[in-house]
Amino acid sequence: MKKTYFLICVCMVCALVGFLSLRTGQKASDLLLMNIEALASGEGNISYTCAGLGSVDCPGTQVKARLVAYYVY
Amino acid sequence: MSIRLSVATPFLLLLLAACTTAPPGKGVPYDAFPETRNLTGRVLPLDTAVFRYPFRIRVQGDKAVMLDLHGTDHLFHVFSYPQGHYLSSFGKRGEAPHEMISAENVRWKEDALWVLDADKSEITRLGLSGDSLLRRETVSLDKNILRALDFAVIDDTAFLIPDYSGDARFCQVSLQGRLLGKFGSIPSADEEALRNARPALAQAWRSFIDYNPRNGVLAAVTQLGEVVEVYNLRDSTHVVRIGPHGEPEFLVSEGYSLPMGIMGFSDVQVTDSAIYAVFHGRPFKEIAASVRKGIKLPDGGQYIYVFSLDGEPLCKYVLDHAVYGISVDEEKGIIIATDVNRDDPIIEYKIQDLCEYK
Repeated sequence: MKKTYFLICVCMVCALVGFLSLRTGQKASDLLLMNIEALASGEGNISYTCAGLGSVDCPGTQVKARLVAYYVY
Repeated sequence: MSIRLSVATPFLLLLLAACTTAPPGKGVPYDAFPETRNLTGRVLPLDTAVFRYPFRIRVQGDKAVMLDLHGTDHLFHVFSYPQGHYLSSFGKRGEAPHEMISAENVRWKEDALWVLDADKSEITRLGLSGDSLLRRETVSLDKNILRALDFAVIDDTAFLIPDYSGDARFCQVSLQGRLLGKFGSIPSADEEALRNARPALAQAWRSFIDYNPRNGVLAAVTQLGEVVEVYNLRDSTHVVRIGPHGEPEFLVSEGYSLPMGIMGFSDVQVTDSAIYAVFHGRPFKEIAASVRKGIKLPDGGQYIYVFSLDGEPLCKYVLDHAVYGISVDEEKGIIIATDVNRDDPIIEYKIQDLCEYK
């Protein structure tokens, strides 16, 4: 009987750890979302640069690049 | 018993909470193709090397027209096919009348060739004169059409142009360039972006399109992510298929969309029996890392995905080259592709049997 309860407790701890890690992921995701919203509303800053020959439109220009590299600060 | 229940109930609740997944997109997902085929290409030797970025190839009869996206002097070159002899160039680069600032696509329509310049907002029709192509007319696009990045000619009556404003999915434009109307919507599950950032969403959902007048099927594939849309303009059906890489991912900065996630599709063709699309699948993070390390990754896609005309995955071709544009001839069993990484950029693939429903 003690063994059964021990196993259940182990399972609960594992599930709790998994759940908390998911919540942590959610926090990161929310943070990113807030960051994006802040950028969209002009409260944040982002710098980007376009590199290489490619087919991706470089924002706000007539250049087509391989990569749009950006940095959030 | 009550002790056991009191222990088990929170455990089950936690388990269910952990199983919660992200909300699905608006399309029907696909995971895998029923069949994978490997293809080995033959490099078509050319008697000249004038390309910087051979983005599109269109073959009609014994002539192949290549669109060089980053061409310095001319944006288009004509070759004999399959001999590969250089015939002529057109689309002189410049801002003067009859010159082109940029080129997005090129399409044969019987003996005429149509080309699109997004930066001048013009579509030009050229006609064959011997081995050369001469300008016949230039259509200035309506000012209400925001940055036309692809086009298709619909049944000799209109152009279809993806709507870059985000208000709709496509603009219907008269052959004289007048905006007739808009239809469709971006099939994104991102409600926040649909409400507040439609122009950026439309930029991220930039799609390549093709239309086949023989079956009325219009296909659109996204440059970012992995979304395929199939519109049957005859029966007004619309199918959205979303692959494992999902919707286009992007970051908004000052109203512009910055690409994230993966490089998706780069060309699409609707034939009489199927839809062929070149797929890259390379994460931008990997491209950025290679640039930082000075490693040159091949640019292009090593996959051609084949879908039925109602959007069912049929098969996947794995190529020995990374390619960008394709021209599929099912009757001859040939796919001609462009490889931007080579000086001899035309690759010819032979397909034995067409992919079909199993």
